[in-house]
Amino acid sequence: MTAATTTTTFVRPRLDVTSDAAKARIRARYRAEARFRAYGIISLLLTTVFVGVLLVDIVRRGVPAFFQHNLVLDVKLAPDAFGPAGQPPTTAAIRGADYFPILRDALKTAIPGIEARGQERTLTRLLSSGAQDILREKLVANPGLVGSTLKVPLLLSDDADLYFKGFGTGILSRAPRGIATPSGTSGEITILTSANDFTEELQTIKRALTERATQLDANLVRLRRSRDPANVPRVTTLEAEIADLKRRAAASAGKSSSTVCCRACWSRSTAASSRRRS
Amino acid sequence: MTTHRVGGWTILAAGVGLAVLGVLFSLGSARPAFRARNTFERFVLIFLGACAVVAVLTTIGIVASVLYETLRFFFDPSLKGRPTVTEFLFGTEWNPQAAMRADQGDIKTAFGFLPLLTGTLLITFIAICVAGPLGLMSAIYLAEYASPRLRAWAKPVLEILAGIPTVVLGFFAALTVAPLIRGWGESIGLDVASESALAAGLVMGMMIIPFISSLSDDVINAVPQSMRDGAYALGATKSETIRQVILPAALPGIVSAFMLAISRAIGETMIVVMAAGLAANLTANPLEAVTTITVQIKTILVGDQEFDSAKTLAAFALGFVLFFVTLVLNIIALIIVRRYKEQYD
Repeated sequence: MTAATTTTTFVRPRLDVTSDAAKARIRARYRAEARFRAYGIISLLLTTVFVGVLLVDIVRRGVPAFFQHNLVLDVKLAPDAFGPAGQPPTTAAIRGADYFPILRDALKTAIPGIEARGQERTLTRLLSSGAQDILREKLVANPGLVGSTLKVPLLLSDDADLYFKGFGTGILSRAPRGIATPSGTSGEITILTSANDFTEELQTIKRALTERATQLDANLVRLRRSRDPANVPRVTTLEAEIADLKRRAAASAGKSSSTVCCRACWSRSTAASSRRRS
Repeated sequence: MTTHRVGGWTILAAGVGLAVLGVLFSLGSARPAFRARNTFERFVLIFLGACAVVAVLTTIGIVASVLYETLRFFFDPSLKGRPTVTEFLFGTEWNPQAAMRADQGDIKTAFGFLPLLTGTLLITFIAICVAGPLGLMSAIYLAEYASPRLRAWAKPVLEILAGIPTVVLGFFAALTVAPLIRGWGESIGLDVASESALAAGLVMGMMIIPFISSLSDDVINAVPQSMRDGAYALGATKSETIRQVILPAALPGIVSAFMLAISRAIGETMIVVMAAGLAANLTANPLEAVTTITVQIKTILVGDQEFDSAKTLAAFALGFVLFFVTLVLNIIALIIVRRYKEQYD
């Protein structure tokens, strides 16, 4: 007797891995995987870039602090400033001498032509307040230098030092195309050239004036819109300022190209002379 | 000999005497029946217990001193110009300056805490928006995908970032990042303050990236390999495994990492002192200057006000609120970790 066995075979459901839709799904999953990896790498890169930028910036800002600029001056050391003439000066006399007039005279010899009181003060402020100490220590170490003219490097003041480190406004030197004729050598000087040497400066001035006028204009609109009676005098001042700026901007662009005027005062004459020489 | 020198010699003699007594005692105790290891064990136990007690007592001391001054600030009747608790917690104007002289009628003293809270939360939110994705993705990449060579230079970079003093970061934020953001904003036409919350938030975000990254790295590595193997065996790609298996398993640790980073960001002082503003400003605009609780605490306490004025005691009230907020965040982190921690073995 055979038992009739009915077996039901379990058919495993077939996964669809060959149709186009399935292949597209697989490709989409791999793309998602690649995107995820990319996010990881990008975040690591951003962090590294930030650390790098931070370190470079801090070092760049800090490195100029390790450098100092000196001005090499010919300092005339007259013996009568260090005690009665004829005798060699004592150490106490060297230490106690007043070095300010010595340095001032040395600066005036190096940069001639400074007359006005205010400009003389600016000139003496070129040197650091420690410049006198530098000179004093040099003389104390070598008293035989009294009476000679010493070529000594002296520490520049903060503002002058920062200027040389690039933290001030620079001086542009450009080769001129015409001949410059200054109207004098002191006081307010007008420099006339026979070619358009100053067109770029005029463009810069005009652009700056119009920008400033636009800024003030925005302020003016805001003040007008506030309708506050306390702002009325400010509004009138602003309107006058804007009108003046616009007039100056128009005037600076309107000169003829053959003779261009540029007003320069003494402190800028060095720039003018470098323009003349280059 | 002067009294000072006599005192010095006395102390020296007493110290030497005590040392000699101790040596004699221990040498006398060295007998075969003396159980030295047990005694030493007890001694080490007492010493470690004392260290833990010192830490706990210090915390209690800090909280108690701040709480005492805070209670004085709110409830001392002899203090002029103090606010009530609701005025402090829900006021919208922060102006502690005029509390010194009551005859300045046009300047109103106000101790409203809300602008400080919104400023702190704004900067913290920006910081987490920066640090969260960057830190988490760095951690995932370093834990799952990176080769040992890549890990060898990426980990030190993150550690350098963690070791940068916050003063230097604040310096960088104030001198470089803030003018840069201002320049970009103004070239687009937006009105950006020179001490925007965005600058402070960005740099603070970069500061807390190592926190999130290293803590998340640890929890992701702690997920057992068997879970990963099971997912790979089912045909999942690596990113699908991470997203659907590993991150949910590591979620409590990642959430607690975020909570710790948030409480660090809320309590951070130096970056915001240098890069964020001083005037309280109730706003949600990240391009404006806001001030935070820590900046105000520093501003009030760095100065020579006497400790009796309401203005100085306001700093203690701010400190207490700050402590309370970070305490709540840490407790939430602890609860989440404890409740959702998986036991794999």
